Amino acid sequence: MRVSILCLLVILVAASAAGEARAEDWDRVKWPKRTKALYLGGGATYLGNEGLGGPSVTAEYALGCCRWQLLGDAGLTWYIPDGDGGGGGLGARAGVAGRWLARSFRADSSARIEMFMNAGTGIEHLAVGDGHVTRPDLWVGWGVQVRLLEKKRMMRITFRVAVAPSLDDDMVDRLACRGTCTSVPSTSPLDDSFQTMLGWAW
Amino acid sequence: MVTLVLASLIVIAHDEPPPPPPPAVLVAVEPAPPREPSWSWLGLRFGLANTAVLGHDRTMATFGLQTHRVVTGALRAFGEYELAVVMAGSGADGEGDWDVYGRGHIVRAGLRHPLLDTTIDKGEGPIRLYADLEVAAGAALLSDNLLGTNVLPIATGGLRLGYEIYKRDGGEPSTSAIDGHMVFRAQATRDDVSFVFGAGFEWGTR
Repeated sequence: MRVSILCLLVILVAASAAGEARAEDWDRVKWPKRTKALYLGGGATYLGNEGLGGPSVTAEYALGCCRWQLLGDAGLTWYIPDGDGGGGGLGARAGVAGRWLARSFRADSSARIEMFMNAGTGIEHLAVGDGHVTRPDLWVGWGVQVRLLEKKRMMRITFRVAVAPSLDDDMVDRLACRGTCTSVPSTSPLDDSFQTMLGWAW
Repeated sequence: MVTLVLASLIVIAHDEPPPPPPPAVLVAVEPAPPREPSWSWLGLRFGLANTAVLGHDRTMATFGLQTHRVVTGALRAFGEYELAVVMAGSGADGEGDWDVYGRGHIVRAGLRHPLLDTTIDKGEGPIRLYADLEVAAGAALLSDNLLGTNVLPIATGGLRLGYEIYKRDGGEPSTSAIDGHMVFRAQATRDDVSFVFGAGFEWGTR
């Protein structure tokens, strides 16, 4: 619950944070000094071989230097319950990451089309099914954005894949299935997840 | 005797000096033109694929990251990673509700060569249109809630259709480019041959 409140606060602070990026930062192969971003997305988290999925909202605040950004992000995911009510609930996540501006192509005087790669770590609190758990994660991702030079906005599609320590079978049953899961038990020490997000940065 | 010596000295004095050594032959060698740095390409792709795992059909949506470079002439080598979202129905041939789900990781490396290409340049920078033939080999690590984890060797062959736009900054040669493409591939595993489609972008720099 505390993690959820913290994430909500970070989202609100990031969305309202002051600081305009300087105009000259926008038409170069580099990140603006400060940007904020808001994403809507969706994805799936695996608990063993059981999947949880649903829509998410994420906010980030980033500091840029050259082709690198250091960012903090926080998000909430609503996991949609399956037919028997298992797996439904809320996930709250906060973390830090680094982002590299891998490529930039200046299409014309109004826009650049860019590719970036990023990686980060964070902590997620899952309150789903009949239990809750908090666990760390590591993720890598990549994406494409259109940088609108006159409007000083970036429209971004990003994708990330994450790994987190796996849970024991009893916990998976409580969280994902509200009983006994029917899937083949996973033997992997890591659970993975993925997320696709569409966002605006300014 | 004195006459003989004097005669010899006169002969020696009239000997022609040895010919000078031939002048060194200087050949003007044109300096080699500076070799243009090769293009390095990096990009991403979204795809759809169908494959069989242990005789069960699986549909995959993939999110890929790929790179390629010119090997020699028009031959290019590429490497790809794809994260796959695996979906299927629990019926024998994958039909029914989408109650089978999982994920996978696919890597492949291959070569491509143009079958057809043409370049258009209206002053702002060349645009190359191409149709490339490509072959590749790799492996897929697929995991789902019904079959667990399986490793599949894969081989693919197909067509890549696309364009490359090279941006010219003033009179300077291009240093940045963008590629948009679609791939249509046949993918062979131990169990079957299936179809793969993908669409993506790559950015070039040098």
